[in-house]
Amino acid sequence: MSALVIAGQRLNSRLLVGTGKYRDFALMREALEASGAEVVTVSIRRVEAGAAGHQGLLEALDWQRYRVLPNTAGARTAAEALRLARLGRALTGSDWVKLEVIPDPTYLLPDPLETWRAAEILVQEGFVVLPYIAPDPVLAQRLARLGCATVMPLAAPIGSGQGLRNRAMLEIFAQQRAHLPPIVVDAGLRWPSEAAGAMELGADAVLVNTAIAEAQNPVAMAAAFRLAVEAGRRAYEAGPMPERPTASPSSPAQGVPLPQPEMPL
Amino acid sequence: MVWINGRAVEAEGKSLGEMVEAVCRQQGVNPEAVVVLLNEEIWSKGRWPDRTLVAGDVVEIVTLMQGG
Repeated sequence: MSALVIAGQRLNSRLLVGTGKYRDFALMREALEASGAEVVTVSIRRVEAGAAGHQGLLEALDWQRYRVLPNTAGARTAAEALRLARLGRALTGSDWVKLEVIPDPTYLLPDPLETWRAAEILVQEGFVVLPYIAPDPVLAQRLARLGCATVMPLAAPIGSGQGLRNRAMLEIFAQQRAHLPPIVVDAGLRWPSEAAGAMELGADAVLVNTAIAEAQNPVAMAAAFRLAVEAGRRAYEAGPMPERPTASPSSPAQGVPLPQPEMPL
Repeated sequence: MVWINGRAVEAEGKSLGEMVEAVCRQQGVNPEAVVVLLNEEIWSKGRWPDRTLVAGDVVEIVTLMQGG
């Protein structure tokens, strides 16, 4: 299986994972290990009372092993995303940012115009920008022209578990891959087969969080996603057989040792 | 009043560094794992300015959290 290259960085795993929604850090660590992922996303939040999940996240993971990808989740405008991206860079020392600009609380759909505006400035500031977008190939090309390091079209709304709802649009992404940076299908998956499906149709990688963290056995599900992403990529690289409108027998049609209608009995 | 993480606090005259460390201690967060935004200016981990808070200052103390 070929390596994934994002902004010149070679990654052996084509599965990126989130760190959200895990019951505890021990389970998160074990699931991340089982996923084989090298890139993990984190969010940026205030240190405040009652906020779960921020005590010791930095200490909970071996950052020599994982490339941290801070997100701008919570930003509703380009200006808010810029603020979170800059804080993320100060916290992690990494220029990589998963750009999320989401004004819609129901479906968590990203704002394309504000995303583009934020991406333009972040690229100018030297960030490696991985924008989360609706599966709009035209927007993806506009972001590619800005110099974004990936495009991250959503398969279905974040955390919904609805699977590859946007398959038809993702197929267009795949057809246009020559004009795009790596395509990372992000959000909405439930089953590993859906991740394999995204990879088979030509995605370069898949980002998964809820499907692993909220599985009944997150560690086993992380391993399943790892295998599925690898299987899907290997299948894509192998190339499928041609599709036919009718059946084509796998066994030779001639020489079947059975009486034929014209033979004397 | 000084605004700290979105809340008005009577912290005028207190040291920024001591305030940040007190908030971190209270929440069980390593001060080395936070970044401070003081009036929209970012100060990296453990390198906040030696400054006394004045009325109207806006301070955000942020860290990494689990996320997708």
